[in-house]
Amino acid sequence: MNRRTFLAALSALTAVGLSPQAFAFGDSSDVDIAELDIPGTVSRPNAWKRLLYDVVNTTSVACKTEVPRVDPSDIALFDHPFAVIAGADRFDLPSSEGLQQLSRYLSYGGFLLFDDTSGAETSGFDASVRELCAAIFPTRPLSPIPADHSVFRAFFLLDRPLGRVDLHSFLEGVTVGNVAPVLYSRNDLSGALERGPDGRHVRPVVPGGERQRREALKLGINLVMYSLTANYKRDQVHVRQLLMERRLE
Amino acid sequence: MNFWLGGELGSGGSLVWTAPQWMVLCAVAATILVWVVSLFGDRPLRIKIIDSTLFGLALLALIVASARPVWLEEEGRTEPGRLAVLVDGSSSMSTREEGVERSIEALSILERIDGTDVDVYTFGNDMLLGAPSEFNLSGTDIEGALLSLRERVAGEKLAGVVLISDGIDRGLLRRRFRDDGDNALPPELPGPLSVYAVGSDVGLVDLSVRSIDSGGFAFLRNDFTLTAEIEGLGFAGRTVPASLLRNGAVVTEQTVTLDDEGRGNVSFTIRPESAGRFSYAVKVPVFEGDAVPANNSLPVVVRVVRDRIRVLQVAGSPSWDVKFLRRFLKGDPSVDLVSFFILRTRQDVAAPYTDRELSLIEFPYHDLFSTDLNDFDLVVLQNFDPEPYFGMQNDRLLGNIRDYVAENGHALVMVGGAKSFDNGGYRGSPIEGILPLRLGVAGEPIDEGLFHPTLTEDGARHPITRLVPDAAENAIWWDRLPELPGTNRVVGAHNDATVLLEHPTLRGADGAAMPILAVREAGRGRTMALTIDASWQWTFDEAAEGRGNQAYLRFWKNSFRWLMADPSSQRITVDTPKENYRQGDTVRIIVRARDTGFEALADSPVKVIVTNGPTVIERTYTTDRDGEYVLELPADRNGAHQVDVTVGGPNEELSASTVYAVSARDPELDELKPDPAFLQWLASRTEGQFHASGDFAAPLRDVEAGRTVWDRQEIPVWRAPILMAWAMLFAGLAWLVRRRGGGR
Repeated sequence: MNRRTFLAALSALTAVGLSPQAFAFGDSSDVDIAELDIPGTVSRPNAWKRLLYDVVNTTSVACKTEVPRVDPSDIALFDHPFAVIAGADRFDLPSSEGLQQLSRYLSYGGFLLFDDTSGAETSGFDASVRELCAAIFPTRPLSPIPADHSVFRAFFLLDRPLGRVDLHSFLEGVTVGNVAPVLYSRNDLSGALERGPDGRHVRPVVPGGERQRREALKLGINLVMYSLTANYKRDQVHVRQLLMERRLE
Repeated sequence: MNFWLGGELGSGGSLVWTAPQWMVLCAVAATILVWVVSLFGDRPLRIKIIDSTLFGLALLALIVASARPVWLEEEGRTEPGRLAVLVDGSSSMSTREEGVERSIEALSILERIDGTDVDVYTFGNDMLLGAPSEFNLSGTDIEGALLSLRERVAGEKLAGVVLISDGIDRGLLRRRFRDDGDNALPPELPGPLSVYAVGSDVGLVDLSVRSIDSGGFAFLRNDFTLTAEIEGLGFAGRTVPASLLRNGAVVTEQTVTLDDEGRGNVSFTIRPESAGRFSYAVKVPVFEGDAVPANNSLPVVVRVVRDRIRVLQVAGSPSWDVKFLRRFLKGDPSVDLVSFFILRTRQDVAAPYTDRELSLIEFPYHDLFSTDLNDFDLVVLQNFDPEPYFGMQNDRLLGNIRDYVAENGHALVMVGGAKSFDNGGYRGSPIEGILPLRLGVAGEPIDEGLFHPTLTEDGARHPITRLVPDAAENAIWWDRLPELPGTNRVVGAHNDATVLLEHPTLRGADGAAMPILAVREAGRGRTMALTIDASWQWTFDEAAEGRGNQAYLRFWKNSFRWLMADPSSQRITVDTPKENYRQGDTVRIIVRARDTGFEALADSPVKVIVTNGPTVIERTYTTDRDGEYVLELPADRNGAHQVDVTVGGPNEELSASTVYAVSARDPELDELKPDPAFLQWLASRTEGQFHASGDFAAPLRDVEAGRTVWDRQEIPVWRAPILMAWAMLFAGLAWLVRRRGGGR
């Protein structure tokens, strides 16, 4: 099997949503990623499918590898505890009903990932993200996520949130209590993950090439795992063992 | 003359009118009316003047009589003052010193003082007339006794007041003396005070446990210290052993060295391994000559409570169900959670990542399910198949979980998923025997059809599924929860289990609706089985509808309370309002019984057995319509009392137990050392006389003291014959004059 055949086969597997193991029963118990249907945002279902496929292949998590697109004011949002908003330019803020529902969604256990796909230092998307977060969490601004945060050790040990680009050395997020229901990547994470119909990656990754793409995928897996386990990896038993094995400084 | 006056009227007397004023006024009015009527009639004016004057004089005698005049004579005489002797009749006076009770010395002093002018009183907290027959009063209040005496003599001066006591005053006077010294003021006395101190600490030998400080309660699996204060009169500087007993058996022993005043503390550190009430006692030996052997042991009951519930959550893989349960547990401050999620299985190891890239740690299953297992109160197995990890040790480690529940009284929850119940390989494992559900389903072990679980009759009452107190409202809450996406299939419920939720269409092997949620009391512990893996939707879907997440939170909160055998979730409870009682108190033992559906168990036989050493009290009765039985017993025996209750008949007998302690300690015996310094101060502060023990002299007497006794004589003049004769004489003359003058 040459490289092209392998990638095509991989793509086919992804497309049909075949997971190598089944860990739950009933579709709604499996993990998926829902894109929020907001005018001005970008839809990259193949990036998230690819991520979920790798989650299934790498971890014990059962995923659906389907990426529905859901309006923020649609009650169906609550069928998908992991949601994502990606884009490069300004987007419309959801209606007040949508904002209220997003607020409830995040308060009761939902998780929202923002992915700035612009690959630029500043973007219209970034401005909209901050407006949206301020509308949902008026007293909790987006702030940098520290390097020892659980998201950087949810499955892989990471020290930098890489994507298609490497412009920002940290993630941002909104923290409520000990967990962050909102995380924000500004390095175009989905751009590094997305593949075309032939199974090839759509965009080059700079400056680190495939090595950087691999790190981006690891970040994506960590984000899914973090949405499921929150601060689990900060439990004493994990920290102690990782320190003993010198995997953490 | 004395006859006519009704008695001998002395010169020093005085006339006192004793009738009420209104009666005199009525008599005057009636007399005037009669006199005016007598003026009418046809007779000469001269005759009319004479007879009406005579008749008026007769009526005047009657007016005088109606005023009830009394001739009163009073004469005072002085008698010599009396001596009041106050004898301390409290229990401390019966303390033995070198084999002789203090009371003997007190009675000897009393005998030497006794005389015809002596009034003897006995006092403890109250004062009684007469010498003590026994020295067993509870309490000593010297100030109260002196004030009672002053009130009794009502201003009279006594020749003297004698106080016989060991000085162990438990009233306010000694406390003021200790706090304020010479500035303290004793009450004013009706005569000079002579104080006779009795008792001496020379030769007094008494080792006692004065007090135990336990804090009242302790936290489960947390060290707590029980400190006993030991006092040894005659033991200054000596080292004595002290034992800690639990439920009557010696747990440990320590030694304590008493200081120069014969006091010392001994501390025992205890780590309770189970919750509930436990009876402890600290005991010191009874040496020869011990003045009060009863105070050598002191019981105390300690309530052991959980500070936090320690929960072990083991999940076969992260999922939304796992996430939301962990989120709930982490958010509950009463829960100490240790989670282990299988993040990667053997199938995942082919992924091209090195171990150094991963944050994963090895699943410490062996320690968790062997040495560390009993550190947890509750284990949650959530979509977890143990075989890949336990391997050859599968049966042994699952057997540990079975023993952890059935023998050690802990709890287990199994939550559904593709690796749970039959799919987790639990069929035929040691755990199957304690689960509420029967495994070994034929055919497909999972049903993926959407369904809405049905609340059973038991579920409508059970504390786990009672999300709100009102039954109708509770049913509405369950009805509006969302449909669930599938369930593990099971054969049915175990015979001992209570099914709370069932599948609306699927049937078990016995034809009954297939259980979805069931609970069971397995041995000493409790288990719960929930065959779904989507209870998280009870929180998220409710939130979507704007109803918050109360249904989910209350369901799991209720579940944990029941699993932890929280008193409110036990079917049979027995309790007493307090853990520690004093002798003389009344102990209320309250038994509450409920059936498996937590309905009040009315008219059910109740047997209560209260055991206190060799003494056993047994009562049999039936519960009332509220499922309650209340037994009241007097706290009349020292020590720990074990209460065992059984409710029910031959088919099902449930039991519960508790313990309470009764302290026989008389507060009077908490302190035995006499206090002559206090008595000496009292004598000196009242300018009285102090006599140390064994040093007798006659009491002070005020020769000028005495009392005036008044003799009083009353002669009822209104009954004197002279008044009657006066009235009859003038009435007769008036009649004669009237007749002679032609009147009628």
